[in-house]
Amino acid sequence: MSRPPIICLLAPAVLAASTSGYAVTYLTPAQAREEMFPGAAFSETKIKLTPAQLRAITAKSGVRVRHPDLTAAHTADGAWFLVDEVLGKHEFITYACGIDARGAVTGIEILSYRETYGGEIKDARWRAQFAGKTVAAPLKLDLDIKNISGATLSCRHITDGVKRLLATHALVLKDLR
Amino acid sequence: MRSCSKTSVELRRARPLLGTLVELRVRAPTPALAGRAVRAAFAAVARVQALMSFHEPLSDVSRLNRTAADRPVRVDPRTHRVLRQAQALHRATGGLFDVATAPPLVRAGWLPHGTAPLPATAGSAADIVLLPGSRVRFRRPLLIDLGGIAKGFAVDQAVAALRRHGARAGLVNAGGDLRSFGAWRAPVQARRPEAPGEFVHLVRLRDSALATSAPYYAARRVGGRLCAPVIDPRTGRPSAANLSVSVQARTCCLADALCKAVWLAGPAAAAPMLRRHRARAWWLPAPGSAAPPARSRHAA
Repeated sequence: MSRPPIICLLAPAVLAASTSGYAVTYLTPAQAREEMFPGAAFSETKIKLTPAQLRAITAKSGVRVRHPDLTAAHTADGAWFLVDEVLGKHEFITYACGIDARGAVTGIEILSYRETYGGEIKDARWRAQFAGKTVAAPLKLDLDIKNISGATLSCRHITDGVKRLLATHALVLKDLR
Repeated sequence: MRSCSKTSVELRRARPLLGTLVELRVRAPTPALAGRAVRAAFAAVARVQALMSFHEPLSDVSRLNRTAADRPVRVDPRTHRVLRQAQALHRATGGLFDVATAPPLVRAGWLPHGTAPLPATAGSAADIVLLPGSRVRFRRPLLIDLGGIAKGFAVDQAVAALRRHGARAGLVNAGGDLRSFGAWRAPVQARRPEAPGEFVHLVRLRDSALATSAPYYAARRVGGRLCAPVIDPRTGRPSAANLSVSVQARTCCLADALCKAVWLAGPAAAAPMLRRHRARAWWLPAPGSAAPPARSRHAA
């Protein structure tokens, strides 16, 4: 091999670095639902959790519930399809979760992933630009050709989100049909 | 990439696995084939997670940590294979890549307590005995963690599953450990260790793997210093360097493991290690920290 086996990129060499947020859309909720439950017929329900339900879900899951509004769909035999979003320090992730009639997770699919740096993610205005745009009108923060090799980003927020959805199912959805 | 691209479809999916996000991109002749390949690849990754997770009390790793010092434990052939690779790399890196460094990771809080007891004395990967019939014994109580190699292995398994199911080309990215196959060209960027929202272009990856070790998501304060979850087996302590090290190699398993050894060896000592494995590395220190030792090669 003629090329050097190790390349040191010192400060001057990284001036060409690009700076930006990063966004990628994988699936629409409808596509994710069809992949998780092929051919199944769903009824959609808009649910507004009461303050008492919010407290009960938080107590059961150990995860704070941020939004009282829930977009949910269920089949005649009691399977649920839920779309949820979680907010990390720098990332904003929309995902879908399938739950079967016994209350077990049948699948989790990431619908979209966005990240930004510099504290903007806590900013309500920054988040507001995504409201209602989740997948229908994907936001182009940057070209999605980016393949980032980096330290592992934890998926703890999604794990917590799923705990919250399972508690929501056990306390509210299970008896709704 | 010529005529076949006209009759192929592309699919891009991501799921939370291996404690991170695993993204698959595939090109296959039909949507049905692409879908089947993606499902098989996610299943292969989930299998590696179930076998090799330190967090999972019933994984091969946890069973070994609890029992292998007392009697041989039978493991999945895949776990046996990863351990054999880990041991070969332990020798090839002069002991710098060592899967038996879990105790300091547990003590600092990177790994959970309780899946197995902490050994009283320090051992190394050389104390692992690989027996026939996928059995494993420890010469002394050990706490092993395959976190530094199994993620890369999971990526390799995902690529194998995609190919087996008819995918022509694609890219697997497990939280930054990547591998591309077929005619998939992936321009790869690394995050700057001092500003992870900024990216540096490294390479266009084709039929090759790349992994990165860096502290920005995982740093913890240990003994007053901000440290990365890279344990130096010579001191038994985590590294305090603010550095991003990427390694390109044939397989992601190799890239993943070599990253840790290159990190600890420094650029000069890492060069022969990389040459022997036909690998190469990028060394990105945060400005003002961990200046590379003299004699290393500077590329601007």
